[in-house]
Formats: sequence, structure tokens, C-alpha cells
Amino acid sequence: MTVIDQVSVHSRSEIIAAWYIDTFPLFAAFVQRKGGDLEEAKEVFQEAIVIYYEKLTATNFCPEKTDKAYLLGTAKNRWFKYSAKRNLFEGLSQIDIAEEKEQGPITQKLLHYLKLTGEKCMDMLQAFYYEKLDMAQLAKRFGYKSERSATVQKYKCLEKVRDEVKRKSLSYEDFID
Amino acid sequence: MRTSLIEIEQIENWLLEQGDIQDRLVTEAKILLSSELKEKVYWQSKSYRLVQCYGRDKLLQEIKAVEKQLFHSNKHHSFQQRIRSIFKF
Repeated sequence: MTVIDQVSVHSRSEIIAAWYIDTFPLFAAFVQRKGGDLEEAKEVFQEAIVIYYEKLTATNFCPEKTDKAYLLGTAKNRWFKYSAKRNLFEGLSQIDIAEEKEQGPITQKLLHYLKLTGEKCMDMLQAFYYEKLDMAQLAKRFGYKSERSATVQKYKCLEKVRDEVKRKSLSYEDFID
Repeated sequence: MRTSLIEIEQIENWLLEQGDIQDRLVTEAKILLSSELKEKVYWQSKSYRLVQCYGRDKLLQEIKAVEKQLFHSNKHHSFQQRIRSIFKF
């Protein structure tokens, strides 16, 4: 069963909780053996869940092995990268490392603006383009009577967001050196 | 659907390489001939990337909320004990 199928039966939070309960203790033990602490294990595991979730939804991937095996593998892989970077940057502040991961300033400003002014539209668009809900699921979640109504609203939202992104991007660029 | 929404759909099909190939070729020709349309394609593409970022942020917030529940709620005492025993605190 793909994660999209599972989401129709359980909430996404329930699926994530199940992944934590099944897999985090094994990963935590691995991190502890490698000299890491609980906070590091939590941070890397969060990233691993994002990566695994995006793999499942982007490709409608159905793992041959269990979620546990794939997620543990992904988390360990992330740990090795994290650990290598940590060793490489030893001596630099955490802020220097964190800056590498951050979105650019204009992207951050745009996201903040869209969250404030267009949350309903953004929620709908991310449900379709990120969570990969189909139109029937989208219509149900957002209370539309038909898939056709949901489709029209989706495109209206996209048009609104596109226009806002253009307008705000052009004004933000004036203030970036 | 109004014309502007049909155009958004056509741009989307072209960007995401979906839908009828003949229609996509027509859209491609229009884009090549119209700077206004080219600009719309640019901003629509940026919008998809922002929607991805927004979706990812939302997922991360959800993950953190689940984690908080697991590590602080009495309901998950055995899970918490198991983790404590690993890090010995």
C-alpha cells in the first residue's frame, strides 16, 4: 500500500507516529554508538522522514522492504552526511552550518507573505502538488461538491499565487544588493 | 473555465510534461512567440517551487508536533523509557 493510499485510511500524523515508534529507537541506538546525542538523532530523523515521504509521494513508490528498513537506511545515510559535515566544520559555529540549509532571503520572505495572506490557497496547492492528493481527495478535503469545482478553484489559487509571487518578488529585489 | 485559467492549465501541462502532446507543442510555440507568456511560465514555475517549500515546511511542523507528543505525552511512556535507556538519562 502506498503512503497516499495509507493516508486515506490513517492521518498523516498517525503514519509519522508509527514510523517513529517502529524505527526511531533503532536509529537512536545507532547514533549513540556513533557518539551522537538525542538532539542530533531527532534532527537527522526528522530530515529522513521528509526525504522518505517525498520519495514515496513523488514516485508513488511502494517499497519492497518495509517502511522501517527504508526509513532506517535513509536516516543512517543522512547521519553519515551530517557527521561528515560536522567533522569538516568543527570549530565553526552552528550558525555557519545552518546557513547552508536555509532558503534564500527572497524565498523566505515570499513564503512568510504567502502564509499570512494566502494560507487557504497554499494549503490547497500543497495538498495537490506536494502531498499528491488526487482531485477526488482534494474535493473531499476542501469541501467541494465535485472534482470539477476543486479543479477550477485549484487553478484560481495558482493564478492568485503566481500573480502575488511576481508582484512581491519584484518589490523585494529592489532591496537586495 | 475562464480563459486565464485555461492558459494556466496549458502552461502547467507544458511545464510538467503531461497531457496531450499536440496541445503541448502548440503551447510551446505560443511561448516562443510571446514574451508575456514566457514571463507567466517563469512565475508559474517559481510558484510551484514555493508550493513545494510550503508543503515541506508544513510536513516538518507536523513531524515536530508528532515528536513532541511522543516524547512528552504520558501515553507514550514505554517509548520514552526505551529512548532514555539508549542515551542513559
